[in-house]
Amino acid sequence: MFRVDCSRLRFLVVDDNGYMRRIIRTLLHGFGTREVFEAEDGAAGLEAFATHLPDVVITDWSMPVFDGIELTRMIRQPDTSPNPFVPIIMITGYAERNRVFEARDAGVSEMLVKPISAKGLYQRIAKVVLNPRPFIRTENYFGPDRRHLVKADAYKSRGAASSFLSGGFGNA
Amino acid sequence: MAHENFEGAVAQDFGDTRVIHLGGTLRAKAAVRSADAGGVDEMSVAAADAAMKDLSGDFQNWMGDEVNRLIAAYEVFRDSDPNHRDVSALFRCAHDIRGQAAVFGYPIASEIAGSLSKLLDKIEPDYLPLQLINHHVDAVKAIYRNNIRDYANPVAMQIIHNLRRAIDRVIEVRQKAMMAELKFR
Repeated sequence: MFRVDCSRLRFLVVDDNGYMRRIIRTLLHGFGTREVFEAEDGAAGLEAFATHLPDVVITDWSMPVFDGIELTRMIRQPDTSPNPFVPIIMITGYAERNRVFEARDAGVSEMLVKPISAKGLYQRIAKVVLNPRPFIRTENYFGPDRRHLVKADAYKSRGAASSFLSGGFGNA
Repeated sequence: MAHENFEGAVAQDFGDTRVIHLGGTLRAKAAVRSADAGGVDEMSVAAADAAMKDLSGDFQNWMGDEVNRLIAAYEVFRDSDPNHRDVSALFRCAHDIRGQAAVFGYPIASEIAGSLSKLLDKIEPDYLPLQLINHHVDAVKAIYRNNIRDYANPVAMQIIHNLRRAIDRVIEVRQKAMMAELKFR
């Protein structure tokens, strides 16, 4: 088995609530992370993303003006983003199915529904580092494969490759 | 396609769909062998839990700040022109408490704020019942000031139940009215 040595990773935390940023930073430092950058809205987050080139982005959904979904869409611009493949973990109070699908379609890698816990956050980090999903590029989408459980063989035929675009989604 | 060779990624094309297998750079950078079953680093999680426990001495004050923010946002909402009410600030305050109050040790306040978020999200500002919003804000305030932290309090449970029922009724009535408006058109 493998675990993640978080001391080797650089994180960007984007959340408009200062207390939430403090909690996430505390958890990351608890995991051993040394480099945690913060931004208090999506626009500042995008700037910090380009400046610090984090290994993992953790963002809130609901933020004034420029929210976590818009931030994700900007980061997932394959021709302009400094790293469109960066794992994005969205921490949110929204647990409704339609919200999960909206985040998935924007290119979010993993979701973590509040209240946040150390184990829940660690598991999401481990998933994006140890088992990253392939990325899909079509005319309308760029981001992690929207099906969570895809075996390598599934990519061998065109039929299988295109079928997941019509909505298959394993375990959100 | 500028990034398909990014970090050793390998691309496969299937018609107009491109599948990009990432190069495993992050895994190479941060994965280490572990004896922990299920790949969860129990020591890291325990260290993070301990760090949170150290921080938790501040949670009561933080919750107080969030409750005051909710009260202030409600008062601005209540006192603004009924025809031009902006619900976004009030929604964000309720949504923040919904997400954070359980971490701060106030799960019942989290549930009440969750009900308020649902109301503010589902009903257009012009149709929001001010009194019901007021009941929610008062309930969150009372839960905090009386330091009610668990589900054993029967009054708190009754309040949650009543507020939820009231919200479901408001949403149902509004949805029926909207359907009737559509039929009328």
